[in-house]
Amino acid sequence: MTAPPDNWGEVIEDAAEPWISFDDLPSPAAPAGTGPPADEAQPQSRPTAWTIPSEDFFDVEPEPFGRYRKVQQLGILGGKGVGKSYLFQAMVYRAQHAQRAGALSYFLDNAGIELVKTANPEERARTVNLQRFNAEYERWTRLPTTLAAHQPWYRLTLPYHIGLLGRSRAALEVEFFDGSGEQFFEAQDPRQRGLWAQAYREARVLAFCLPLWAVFPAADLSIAARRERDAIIESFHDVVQNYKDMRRHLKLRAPVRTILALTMADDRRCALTTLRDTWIAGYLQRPEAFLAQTRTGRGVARYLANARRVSRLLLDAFAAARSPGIAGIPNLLRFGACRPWLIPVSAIHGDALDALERDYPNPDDRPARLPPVPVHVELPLLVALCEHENALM
Amino acid sequence: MAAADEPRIAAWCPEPLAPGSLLERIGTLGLPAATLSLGSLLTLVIVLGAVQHSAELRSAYSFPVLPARWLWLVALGSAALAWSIVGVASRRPGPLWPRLWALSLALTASLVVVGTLAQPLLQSHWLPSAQLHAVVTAVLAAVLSLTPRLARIRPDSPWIARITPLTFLTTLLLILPPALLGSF
Repeated sequence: MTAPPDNWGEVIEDAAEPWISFDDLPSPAAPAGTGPPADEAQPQSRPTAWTIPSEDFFDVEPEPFGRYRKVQQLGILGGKGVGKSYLFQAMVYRAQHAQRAGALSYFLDNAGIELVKTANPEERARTVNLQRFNAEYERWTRLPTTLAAHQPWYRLTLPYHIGLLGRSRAALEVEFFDGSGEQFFEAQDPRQRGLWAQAYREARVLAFCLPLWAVFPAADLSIAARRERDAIIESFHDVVQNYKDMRRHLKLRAPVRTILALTMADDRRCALTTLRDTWIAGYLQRPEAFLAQTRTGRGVARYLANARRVSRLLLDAFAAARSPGIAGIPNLLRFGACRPWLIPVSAIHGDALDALERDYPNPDDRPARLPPVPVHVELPLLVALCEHENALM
Repeated sequence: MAAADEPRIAAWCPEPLAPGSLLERIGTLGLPAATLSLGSLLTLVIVLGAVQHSAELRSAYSFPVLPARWLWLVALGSAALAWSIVGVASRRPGPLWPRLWALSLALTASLVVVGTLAQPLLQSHWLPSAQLHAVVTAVLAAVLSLTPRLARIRPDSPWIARITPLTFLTTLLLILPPALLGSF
């Protein structure tokens, strides 16, 4: 790793590169309502609510995106092509309807989730039409690579009941920055630092994405796949180093819960075939039964017990790896809290997606088929909910 | 690299909803909020039954360790703890009945405080001393067995499956022997 330059926090005043500085950010400790009024935070030229055209009235947030509200920031980090956007997409898809939200069903209110999006967290956000957001995913269309020119911010609102008799409502609001793997997460570019701080300074739950097959590759991996694997592992270390640099230079001491989301766990290039056949296939082949059982407290408790067991097995597998770059990954992800929770996930069945693209290059020609089954993607959201509200107790 | 780990994973890797061993099945009957509530209800019934199971106890049971004049203090402590559980737990998501149990227990504990304060003044037969002492003991045990709800447990913690059986047994062991032995 290259040593980070020492100009962290410097205000960059180049108008062509409007990166914010750390000093521009609100204090993380500022409670709701104590920050500057929304009107002050907005440039003077921005229209007020009275001047917003009527077609925008119903889908524009009345305040800047999450800056002055109590939100739980769930960071999803990873290098290029490891499935960050897919993971978030699958999370939204899984949580869209409370009764089909897996382990979240037990807690969520039936009122339904809400998703807002903005290009910049200091601007007002727009409500996202969930059906439109999930449509491409539901049609098995491959998500495009996230580019630096288009890195949206999302806030996912998950409502639930609280109160003495459970009649009041509250919500967990999860913020997610969909950054470009290559041009943001891996890049050691000083101009990105304001954005790093803006996106992750307040995050208390982080999901680092790394494809399972890249950690535990099959013995018969092709040369091209080996090269791809090496690049993925290297970029993962870049991402972790960038995050560590940010914490060090901002002197962040707050513990951060980390999850190592071992993505693409259904990939046949992975050596852990039993894990694929049990932990992944056990959900993938009987999704309806799984979703029905995890609506109950007993189902959630069993699910969590087995997820812990899988995590322990994978920690042992990491420890047994001969490459120090692999064996040390769980320890790299300790940021003031205990060791990371290792969760193999599959946002979309890769083989099925590949076969569809091969047989029907034009998405419009594809026959109707069942929507994808996102596997175990709800667990990071459950961690965020428990971190925010201690929901299990 | 991974081939050496595959046999271990093959032997131990569970399906997502595999039931596990008998102990795990007991520990995963529900999430802690619900199982602790059930455990608290059972504790109340068991302790009340134990300290009132014989005619001798029904007529002469008294709260152990502390003199009778301090009984109201025990009841007040139980009520304060119960209301703090209600306050904390009401801000969490989850189903209705654990909330209802916490609220019912807090109301009962509050009534017991009133009873302990009123009983010496009234000297009445409808609130015999032995029964009041029994109820104070049982409510204390029920509140203690619900107290772990104040703790923070994360979804990757092994305590999710252990905390309820452990709390249930510990509370009974803490309360029942002194309650029964101290009465004779």
